[in-house]
Amino acid sequence: MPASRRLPAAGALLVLIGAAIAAVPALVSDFVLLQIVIKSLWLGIAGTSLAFLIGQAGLISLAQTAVFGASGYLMAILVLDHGLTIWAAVAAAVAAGPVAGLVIGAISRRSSDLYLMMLTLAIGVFTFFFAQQYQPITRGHTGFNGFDAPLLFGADLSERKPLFYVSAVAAVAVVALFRLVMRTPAGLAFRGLRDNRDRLQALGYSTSATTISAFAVSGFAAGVGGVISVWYNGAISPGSIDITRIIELLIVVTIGGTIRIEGAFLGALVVTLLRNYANDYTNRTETLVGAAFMAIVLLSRHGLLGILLNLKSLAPKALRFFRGQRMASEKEAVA
Amino acid sequence: MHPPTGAAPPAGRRERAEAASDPLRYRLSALSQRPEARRLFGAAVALLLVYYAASKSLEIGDRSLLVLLNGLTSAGLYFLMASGFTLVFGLARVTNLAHGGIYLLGGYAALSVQRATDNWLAATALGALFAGGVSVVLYQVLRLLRGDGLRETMLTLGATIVIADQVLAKWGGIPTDLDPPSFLRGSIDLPGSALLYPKFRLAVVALALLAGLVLWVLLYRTRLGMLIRAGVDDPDMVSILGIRVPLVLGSVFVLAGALAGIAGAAGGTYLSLAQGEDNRILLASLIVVIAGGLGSLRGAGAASVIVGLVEAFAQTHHPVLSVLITFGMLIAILALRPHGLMGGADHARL
Amino acid sequence: MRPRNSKLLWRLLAFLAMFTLIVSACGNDDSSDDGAPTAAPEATAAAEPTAAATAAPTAASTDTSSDEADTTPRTQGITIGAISTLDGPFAALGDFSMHGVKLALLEYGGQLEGTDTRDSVSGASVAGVPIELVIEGSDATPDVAVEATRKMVEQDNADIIIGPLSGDEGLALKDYIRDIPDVTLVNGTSASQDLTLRDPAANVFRFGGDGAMWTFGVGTYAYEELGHRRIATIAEDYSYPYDQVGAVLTEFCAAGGTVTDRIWVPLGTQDYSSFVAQIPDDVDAVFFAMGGTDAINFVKQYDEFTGQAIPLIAGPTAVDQSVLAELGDRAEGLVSSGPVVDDSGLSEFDAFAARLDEVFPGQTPNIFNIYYYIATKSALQALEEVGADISDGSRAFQAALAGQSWTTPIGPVFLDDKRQAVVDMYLRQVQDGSQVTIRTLPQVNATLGFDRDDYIAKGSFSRENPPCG
Repeated sequence: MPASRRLPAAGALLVLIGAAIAAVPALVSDFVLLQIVIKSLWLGIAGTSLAFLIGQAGLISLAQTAVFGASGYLMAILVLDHGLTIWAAVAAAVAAGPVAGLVIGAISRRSSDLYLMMLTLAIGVFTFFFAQQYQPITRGHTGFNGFDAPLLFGADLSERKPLFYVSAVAAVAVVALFRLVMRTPAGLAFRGLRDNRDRLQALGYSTSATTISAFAVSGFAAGVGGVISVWYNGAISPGSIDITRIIELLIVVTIGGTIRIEGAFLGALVVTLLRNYANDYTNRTETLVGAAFMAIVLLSRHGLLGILLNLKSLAPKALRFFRGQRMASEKEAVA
Repeated sequence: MHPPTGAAPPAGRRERAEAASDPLRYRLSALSQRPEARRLFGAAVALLLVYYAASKSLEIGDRSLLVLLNGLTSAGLYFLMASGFTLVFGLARVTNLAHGGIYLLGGYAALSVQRATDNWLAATALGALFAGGVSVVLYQVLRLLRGDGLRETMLTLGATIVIADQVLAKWGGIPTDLDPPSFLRGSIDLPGSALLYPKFRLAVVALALLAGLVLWVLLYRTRLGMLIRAGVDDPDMVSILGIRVPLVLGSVFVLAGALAGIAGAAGGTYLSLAQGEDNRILLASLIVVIAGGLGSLRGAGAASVIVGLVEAFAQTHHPVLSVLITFGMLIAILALRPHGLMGGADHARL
Repeated sequence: MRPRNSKLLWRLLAFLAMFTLIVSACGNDDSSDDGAPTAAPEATAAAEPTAAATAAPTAASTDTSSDEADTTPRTQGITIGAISTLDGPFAALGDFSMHGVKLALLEYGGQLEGTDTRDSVSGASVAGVPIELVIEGSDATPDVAVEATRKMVEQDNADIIIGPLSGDEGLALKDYIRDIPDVTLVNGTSASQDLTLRDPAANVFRFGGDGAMWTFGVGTYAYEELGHRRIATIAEDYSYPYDQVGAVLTEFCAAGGTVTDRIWVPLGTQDYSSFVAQIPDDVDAVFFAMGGTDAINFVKQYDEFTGQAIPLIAGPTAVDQSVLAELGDRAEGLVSSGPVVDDSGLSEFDAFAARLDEVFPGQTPNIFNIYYYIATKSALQALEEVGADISDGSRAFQAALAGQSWTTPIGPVFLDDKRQAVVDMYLRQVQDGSQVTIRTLPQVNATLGFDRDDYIAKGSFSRENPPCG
């Protein structure tokens, strides 16, 4: 890999992203910044965890809201019920993401495909009911209200601009982390899980260990998303992780497309826009959301991202590029 | 990070292969290497559970009979849903997440017919017909995707959102229900006790048994059934033999939709019809189908009885945690037997 | 490649055609279906506004002449944002709520823009200042309620929020609205005690009861008049039913009664049969607190399994007029307390019922349309008093709102110093499908007549609280 040639390109990209991020608050209203942009960012961050699992490891998990909820709830519980300082709670909550991922991965390490989807659905619904029923810890149906976002270097994260910058940085960091993982041998193993389990096993990898690792890595993003969502909502309740939210995350990722994990942000943006503005034009928002979702699924294998790439007739190139890369890296793995 | 497991897994039993490929299990549990020890352990756990259930049941005396019957009623409704779901999956490899929506449509269609004709049987029949029709329309859309399992699942997910919203637009959001037919109104005295049991609930059990019987005859005594079974076993071979697979598939979709429609009419009678019921029933029937093993009709039957009984038992003895127990049980089953109680290994390729 | 694609396209077209056919078929059925709440015939909607315009604005027009010269009315008018549950399982209740909001605005010269729930009301004005209505829906989860409200406040510049519907949404909105003192929240039907009881916010007003107030009186009545000594309770497992059960047990146990079992049913349960089986034989009555589909399921199944051998006492919303028709004969004779009765004889109630049926044919008064109506009307009256001038950050308006004291369709209302209503409740019984008064319980307050500090010190009602033998 010509890593040296890539470095300046990566640098330029980072600068570009940085400039774009810095410009956003000036371009949109305060309302849009919070309820569209920041919402899309944390929903997208949570979405990347699922996009990574589906797109990279071929694991369709409906338990990502469970991870998301575990982190969010843990932070709220530690601060509001145990009086922990906020940043200690945040650290614990972010760490809880991979741990929760680990647990879910361990439970479902032998499952794949549809059974995995259903097992993780059961885990997601179980977590929702746990939050609703196990009052000693979770305060039941009401959940936690009145959570104040922390200060960071003197900036109050309950204000919009600071929260936006932190969310944007978190989004970039999460994507960078995922991209990094994809380049490691572990990332290769994940794709092996997706493409051919038997071959992965024949190469001496354990499918169980690979599955567990994939869940743990993805859990990090879901956890970060959960933490920011609690800052954003100032609250967390069973309603934040119920079946509607489980399905919504899947919709976000499917609309965005899993061909690249960044698609999750596109999906989150589309869903957020629809949820906020569709009812200005129609009285049947849900029908519109459902029909739009069906249309995208029908028209494209890779969601909106796939359509966009197709429009620019970049898709064949991109596909060839990715295939080539995969084959090359598989050769490396064999060697 | 991923230590090689060394020797190739011994050929033959899949479980052994999995155990060998799984260092966590390998280290944690020597039991997993010895099938007879595992069986003994499983029997011990089962015995403990049975003892617990029996002792708890004795505490409440003859009300345990109610718990048993409640469990069987739920099992009946679940089987009506799960049998169609599992057939569609077994044959078409489609996870139809719109099955709950079709249940609701069937129930509401029956409601409209009942309001017009005041005839429960006609209402249920037409509701089933309508649900079967919607189901086959859905199948036509799914065909566009040519067996891309994940996208098919997503499409049915979108369909269920649209259906729920259209039901809200057409029938409104006020919860309602159907009246049972006159000969099934009221309750009977349970022999040997002072307890009552609603006639209609017993009829639901009978209906499920009837559906099971009809399905069995259809699958094992007719040409269509033969084709369906052949299609489940080896879809490629069936199409190579020149059989019109879409026709077989279409009829299975109609059948599954009609069963869901009947379930909707029955559930709408002894429970109620309302927004959100679609998700409730979908989750319940998913538990049954998955616990039983996707594509296995016998598994669906066994699992609906188990899930129904466990649910009724948990609701009676641990009401606050009952939902956790049902889902916990599913998680435990799938963690231990990744393909359900009676599922085949290769039945869940997406 | 080609033929494949064209076939695909053809199927897609066929599907789309079929889809439009189904949808349009639904639409057609809709207009022929006379009972459906969404299906108000277009003719009435078109004819309505004229009647509204002629009938209502007498009060408004007198005020316009008095104040308008010296105050400087805001050029852009005042925006009211109404939020209720327009999606999800409680969508029907959302429809009812919006009927109430719109009826109040029609009295101020408004005209319906359409028959759908989300269609707004235009042309209303107070003291010459135009009032705009924006409508948003939630699915009864706090997160969505806050987002919908934020959209109305920030995007649509709503000055007054009417709503929300459910308890936990109310608590979330209280936390949100507290930080924007210029905006005023007038609660719809959120019945959480702590919306006003503990840690109240200065800009949150409630012109109705909470879950405990709605259940006031029935515990004492059960003990003293019905002679019950031992009861069991069965209710959904969250805060609103805790308040109802708590209020009943507080009175019942203070009178000397005991509770044998408190059965909590997890939300999302369809089949109550196994919960009904837990009700002991040796109690005098069973108090149940549920809403909507749960109430229907429970009453039906209780009836089938026990023949109502042990009498039921109902929670307020379990036998609200919005579900009474669906409960049918099984609800006959059920005793409850609650805010709405059909035979109060109040002229305000009869006028409201007539107007409701006139504007939204087939609709009858229930807790949702009345409470949202009272909330909106209170806000409009307060606006009138300040000449629709909220340029002082709504201070004068909020003071006027806190001072509102008027006779609503369900009796007189005024607010205490925590901006919580003191209102009449009714002990009532279902007879021939309507709620008939047994006794009026005048001026019920937020602490059910107990000393405020003592009442708060007892803690929020929960699964175990209040303790009782």
